[in-house]
Amino acid sequence: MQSSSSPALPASLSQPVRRPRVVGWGRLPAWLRFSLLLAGLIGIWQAYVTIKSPDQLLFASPRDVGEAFVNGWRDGALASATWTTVKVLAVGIGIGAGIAVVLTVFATLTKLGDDLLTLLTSILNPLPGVAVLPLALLWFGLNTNALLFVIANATIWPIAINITTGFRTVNPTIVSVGRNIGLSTRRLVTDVLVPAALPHTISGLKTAWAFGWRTIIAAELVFGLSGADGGLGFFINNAKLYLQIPQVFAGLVTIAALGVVFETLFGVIERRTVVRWGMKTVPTTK
Amino acid sequence: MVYAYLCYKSAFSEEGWSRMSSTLSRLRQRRDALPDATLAGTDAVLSVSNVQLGYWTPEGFSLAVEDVSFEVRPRERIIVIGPSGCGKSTLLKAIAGFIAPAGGSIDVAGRRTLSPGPDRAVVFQEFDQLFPWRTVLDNVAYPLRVNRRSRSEAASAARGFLELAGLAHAADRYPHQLSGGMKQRVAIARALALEPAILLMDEPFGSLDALTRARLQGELNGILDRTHTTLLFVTHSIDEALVLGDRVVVLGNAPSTVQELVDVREVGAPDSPAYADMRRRLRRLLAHEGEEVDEDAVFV
Amino acid sequence: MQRIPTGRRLALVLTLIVAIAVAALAATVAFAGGGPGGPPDKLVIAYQPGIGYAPLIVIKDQRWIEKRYPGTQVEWKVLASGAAITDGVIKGDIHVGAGGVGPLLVGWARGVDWKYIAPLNEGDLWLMAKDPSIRTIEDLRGKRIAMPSPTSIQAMVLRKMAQVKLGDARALDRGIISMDHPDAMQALLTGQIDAHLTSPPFQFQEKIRGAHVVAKSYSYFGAHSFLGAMVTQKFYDEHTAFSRALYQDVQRAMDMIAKNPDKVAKILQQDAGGTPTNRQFKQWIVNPALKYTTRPRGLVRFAAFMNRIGVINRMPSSWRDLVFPPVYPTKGS
Repeated sequence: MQSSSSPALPASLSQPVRRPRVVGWGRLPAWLRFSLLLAGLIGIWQAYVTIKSPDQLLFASPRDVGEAFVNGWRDGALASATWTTVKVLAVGIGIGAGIAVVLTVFATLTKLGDDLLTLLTSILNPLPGVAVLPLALLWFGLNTNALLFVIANATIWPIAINITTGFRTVNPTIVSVGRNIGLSTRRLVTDVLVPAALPHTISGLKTAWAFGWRTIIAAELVFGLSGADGGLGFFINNAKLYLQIPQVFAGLVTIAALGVVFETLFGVIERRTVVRWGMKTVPTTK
Repeated sequence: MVYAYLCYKSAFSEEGWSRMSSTLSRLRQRRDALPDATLAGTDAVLSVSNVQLGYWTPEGFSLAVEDVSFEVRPRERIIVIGPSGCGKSTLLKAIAGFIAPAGGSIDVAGRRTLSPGPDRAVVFQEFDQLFPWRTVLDNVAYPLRVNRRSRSEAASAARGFLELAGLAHAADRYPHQLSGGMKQRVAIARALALEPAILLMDEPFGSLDALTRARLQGELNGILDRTHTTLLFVTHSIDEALVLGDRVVVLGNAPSTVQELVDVREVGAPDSPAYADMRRRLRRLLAHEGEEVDEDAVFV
Repeated sequence: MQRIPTGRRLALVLTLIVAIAVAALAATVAFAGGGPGGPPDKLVIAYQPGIGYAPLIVIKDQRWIEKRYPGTQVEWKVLASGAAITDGVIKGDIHVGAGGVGPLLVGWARGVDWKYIAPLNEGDLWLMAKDPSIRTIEDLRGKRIAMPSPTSIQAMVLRKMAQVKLGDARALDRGIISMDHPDAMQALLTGQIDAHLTSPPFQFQEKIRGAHVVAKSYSYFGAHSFLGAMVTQKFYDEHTAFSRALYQDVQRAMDMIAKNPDKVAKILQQDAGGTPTNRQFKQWIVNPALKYTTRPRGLVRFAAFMNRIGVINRMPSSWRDLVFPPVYPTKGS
């Protein structure tokens, strides 16, 4: 006997559409969802420590870490370490960006420059910053210049690639408009090419920052001074030497938190510029 | 044209109207100082003489335009029309100064054109000819500031032209928030704000839907009536040529020459027989060699 | 394929598990070390570069442990720093770690339950500089000083020097650069760093190569212990007989160094791969700056200083808290 008059549907369609289970969760505001998730993870962490009691010299509880974190900021150790790291990173990225701009302009104007940039990038980009560090220490001595060199190397290539791509993919119509309204070449570059390439520039800076951040922490771990001059990487290493495990964790928490801060910052910048101008659909970070 | 005028009138606020009026009266004074369009062409705004245009291919130099000559008098609206690939866009680019002619010469307001400049403002076909990082107002005002107007002067002139284009309410929006038709209106406002010797338009309505296109044609006529700007308009649409133009330059196949220079001012409304005749005539001229022509075929 | 009924499947699996367990147990029993309190089946002994560890090197060369406990596999490791050794002991990768008084106390204070099973020597640690303008501790302000790590015994010595001469133990902390002795020696001689607080033989080598002595640790702490071999309480409890035997081996090695320095020098030279020379090793091991003894000295003095400047927050009540019973008879301090 025929069961129904309608044609046979594939199995997935013949069942009623189910509403997603956690309808309530999706409705909560973003900050609440993430805070709850974070609290849950910390809860699991604390439970593990309470139940399994791992060796204090290997693992710390959330409470101890929290305490170390608060104390670290209160007595200024974490603050000065953070400032040191951020300072060196900023200068390093500045140098990297400067060199990248020079290389990019050269690459955009001449074919020789373009080839040079491509070659250098393929050779030097894959080098992890920390791998260059021993050589840098030899050339620049045991001081911050070696770190700056390493950071610059880590950041030049992502920035240069992105800006070059940005310049290359500028809509030629816009450039024609710029020439039409009578812009000099200099103004054409600053008022048309640079803003048009902004999405790529920001993308390049984000990548450069990501590489640079990871590089400097790693480099600080390998090479660092004692005392007030050390950055976050050194802070962690030092804490470990003194077997202060909660401080090690606190340092890691600081690094992670700073990572979030900077990414948020980039998101804000993007929202104010490229998203507002419709040159990019959504910021890549929340 | 009267219809278009009435549409405009109803859309304006008092303030907008006064601003636009002041802009227009200033423009009119300037334009009226120029000789009348009916006088002979010694005071031609644009003079194209025996222009040759081409480009290099692996096989050698390929001519797109072989020998084109015509003149455009002040306040005239010239349409350049031709079969696809005939080099009409290339010709416009040469007039604008983006390309140098291989032979012949192009003069605008008596000066040889060697490079792009605001005296030959261009409205391109692409919607993305506005700077996305500037507001609508700034897109119109910035070129004025570049050409040595002060901030406030540029801003108020820009507002005036936006009013003219019917976009005063969108002054603080960004281009990505506008529809295609609105973007082209902004581009027109920007070009006109530069008060060019001749306004060059390269199939600006080609990417729009039929309704918007018709509307913008009407609006353009109304605007030009007010600003008395000289126009050179490239299109492949016969109807567009007849609606907008005073004279039509019909180019042949590449390497092209001027097939005919047709005066279409007396053609009348689209439903008149004179219009239909002219249409057929142009259709025939535009057919490729040996092509079967359906003279009554309607394409926009 | 025919499906095996569930009940029988369960039985099969259980049998398999039991069989494996029995086999494993049997294997463990078969490979068990010799006797109660003997060493574990695999023994890892770690030390650092330097002739201070000569007693251990002798034991290694003469294979006394391997001969006494043939069932044990002994692995000797050389690590770069006291921190690496501390880590290894915490993780359980290293059973016997040899390092300075600094790491011993820092670890002990933070809960690493270890003590000296056999102190190896007393050593005068010299602060070397090459630049003739650096003559006193005061000249070191703002300069870069290399030592194994901020928690090494050298770092504690530097802080003591700073406290005595500059009034602030931390005054020179900024300039501390962590480097192992061989690298630091290289860096000092090429001018990349300004000073090196080091130990025998590196201080001797640097002196020969043109550096001069700025200060000596004995001037600030008196004669004091330098290095020792550490094991955890847990290890000692489980392998008491072995630990005692190790202590005695260390003493035997020290006897050999005293009575037969030529032979020991040869052993050291071979261990070092040929250079420095035989004669140099002999000169170094008889140098009064280094004295091989299992008697610990100055442990409490160091602990008190480190406690005062906040490096450790726990004080031993006596030197005995820091060593195991075999060492008690030496009447250390």
